[in-house]
Amino acid sequence: MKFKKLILKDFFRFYGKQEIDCTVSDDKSVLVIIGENGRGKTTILSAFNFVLYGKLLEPLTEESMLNYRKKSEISNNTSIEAYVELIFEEGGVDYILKRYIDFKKDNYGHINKLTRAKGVVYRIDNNGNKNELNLRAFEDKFLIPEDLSGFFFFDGERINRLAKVDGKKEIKKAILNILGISHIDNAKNDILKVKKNLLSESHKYSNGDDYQELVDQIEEINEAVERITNELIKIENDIARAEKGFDDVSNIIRTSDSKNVKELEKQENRLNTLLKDHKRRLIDIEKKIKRHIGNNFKFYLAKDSIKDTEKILEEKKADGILPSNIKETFINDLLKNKKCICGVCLEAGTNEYKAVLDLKSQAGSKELDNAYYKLKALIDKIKKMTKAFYPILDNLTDERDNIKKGIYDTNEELKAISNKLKNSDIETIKNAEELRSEIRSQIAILNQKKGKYQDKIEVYNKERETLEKKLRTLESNNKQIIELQNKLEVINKLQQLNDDFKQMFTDIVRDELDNKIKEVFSSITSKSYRIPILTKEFELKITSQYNQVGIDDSNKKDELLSTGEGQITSLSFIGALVSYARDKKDDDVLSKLSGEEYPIVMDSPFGNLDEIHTKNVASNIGKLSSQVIIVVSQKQWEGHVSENIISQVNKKYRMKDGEIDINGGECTFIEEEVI
Amino acid sequence: MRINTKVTITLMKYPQNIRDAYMKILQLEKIHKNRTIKENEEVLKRIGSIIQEVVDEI
Repeated sequence: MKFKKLILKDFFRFYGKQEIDCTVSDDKSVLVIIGENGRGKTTILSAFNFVLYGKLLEPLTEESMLNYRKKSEISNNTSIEAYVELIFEEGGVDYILKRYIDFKKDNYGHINKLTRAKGVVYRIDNNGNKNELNLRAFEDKFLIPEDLSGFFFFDGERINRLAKVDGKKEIKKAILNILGISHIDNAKNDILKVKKNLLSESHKYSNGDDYQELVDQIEEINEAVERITNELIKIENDIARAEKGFDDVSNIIRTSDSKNVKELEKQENRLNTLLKDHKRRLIDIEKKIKRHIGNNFKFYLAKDSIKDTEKILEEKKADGILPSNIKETFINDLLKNKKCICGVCLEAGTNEYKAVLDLKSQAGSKELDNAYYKLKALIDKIKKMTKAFYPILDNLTDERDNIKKGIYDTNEELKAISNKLKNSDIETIKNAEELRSEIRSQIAILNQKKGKYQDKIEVYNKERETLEKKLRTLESNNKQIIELQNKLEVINKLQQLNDDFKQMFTDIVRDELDNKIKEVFSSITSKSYRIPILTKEFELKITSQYNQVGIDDSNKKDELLSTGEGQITSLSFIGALVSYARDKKDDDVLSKLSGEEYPIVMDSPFGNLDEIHTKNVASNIGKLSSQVIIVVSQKQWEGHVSENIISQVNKKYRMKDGEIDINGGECTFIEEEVI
Repeated sequence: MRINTKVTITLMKYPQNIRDAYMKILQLEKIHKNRTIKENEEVLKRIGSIIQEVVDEI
């Protein structure tokens, strides 16, 4: 970037349109603007800042930007613009950048700011035509990042400050800024955010269950079920054997010649058949009871909650809203068939057609009516079931009780038969029945055991089912966790690579700047034994060649510098920075400074320098950048500065007081002087 | 040593899939330098997809 012209229009002290031709040449890279105190030297610096970034330097404010004299000159109810325009060249193309603020004088003579600072930028084509560009994109692409602007546009005070401890921090910050790797920092933050999101997601998949523990528990249950099943098989075999024994013994009774025994045996068979039937019916009725409770108890429970719904439906019905009297589909059909049910023809545009069409807006939708009927039917069902639930249940339980009583009575009758057989006069029959009783008891005990084992197996199966469900969830979660772990592993590597990248670029920039600082410093210092060094911690230290500070010696104290030496150090850094920007012009990876090269604008840079340093700085100032604009007072300009700098100066301007106007106050004009 | 050489040496310490993913992320960050909240969410989503692509290849 090279400044070609700066135009100030009614900008603070500068009345009307004031222009500074900023062009320089390769061998004459310096532009000097001389002005006494109060003529607007600092305003010139502020003008550069305003046009480039839309911001004024303190203590200047936007409200007071319009020139005092201009304020008094304009008529009431008139608008006026105060602006700064910069014409510059970048990559062989000319651009015009303008920042302005609109003011208006109201009917009472008060000046009001109409807008905030606004900006506009144009590219000048080969034919001299202006093409407006997107300002934001332009700023991003061409301007020195604002956080670095202080190193390109500065005053003597700032040069002093940079050399002090606070300034060193600023230098460090600036170096880190010019690394130009904001996207690497952004990548670091974004990758970290993605990582945090993943970590918070991982808690979702961890429900505290241990996979192996669940597998072990299921295994234990399987073993227990196997053990019990084996026991159950044994019991069933025992029962089968006992039943066979019972059958064999029963055969003795069955084949008896005794008429009495035969009769008892016949009765026993009948009762056993009856008992079986009772037991079958008992199982059936218990199933019915369960089913009835399972299906209908919910309706009974819902009886209170439906009352409000029923009330609303009744109100809607009373209002004639639900169900609707006319259906939308019915109206549609009439209109489609072009005939009303009364026979009137419904042609589009007729009054009849319109009347039927109007009815459509009152018609209810089929879906809503269907929902109404369904809800109504459900409420009716709930009410009906609420009423019938307990009577049905009572009937079923009564039936169950009757069956149970039948079982009991049958068993009693069987017992009586058994007792009669036990008291038989026939010894074989008596013994056989005794044995049958014993076997019956054994079978009952075995059946009891069998029932207990079956119950245990059922409990274990349920428990296993629950554990297996947990295991399935855990397995699915584990897949997610494994994927998460893989992602985190990738993220860790990306973070490491990002850190390595940043470190690599940091080292490159530090090395390059260190070399450039040494180069610039050696050209302006009077003490050749002094050596500047940029440490690994990015601190700028000045040491003596007899007490060299290594790049790792961040804790070592550097040499005490005089104010002048501090200024030279700062200027070396600034010069190195400009040089760095220039060298990095083709490297968009490394540097934020994407333009070709940047001018430096300095306000009173020779403040505290002694004679030798003034001579050295003045002799070399043109080398700091390909375009150096210096704003100085006459006193600073005279003598060593003027003598040593003049050969590098392309143009010289002087800020002069304008004619003092009683109403408008002071103003400044800028005039070119012959060198 | 040239910058490109240094960049290559740094990258070569990592597997191909990580290098590719990182360069994609850097490209994304470069394109979306100044972004809105919505664009920021999109960038995070895209980074998530880039990481997912690497995991899918494992």
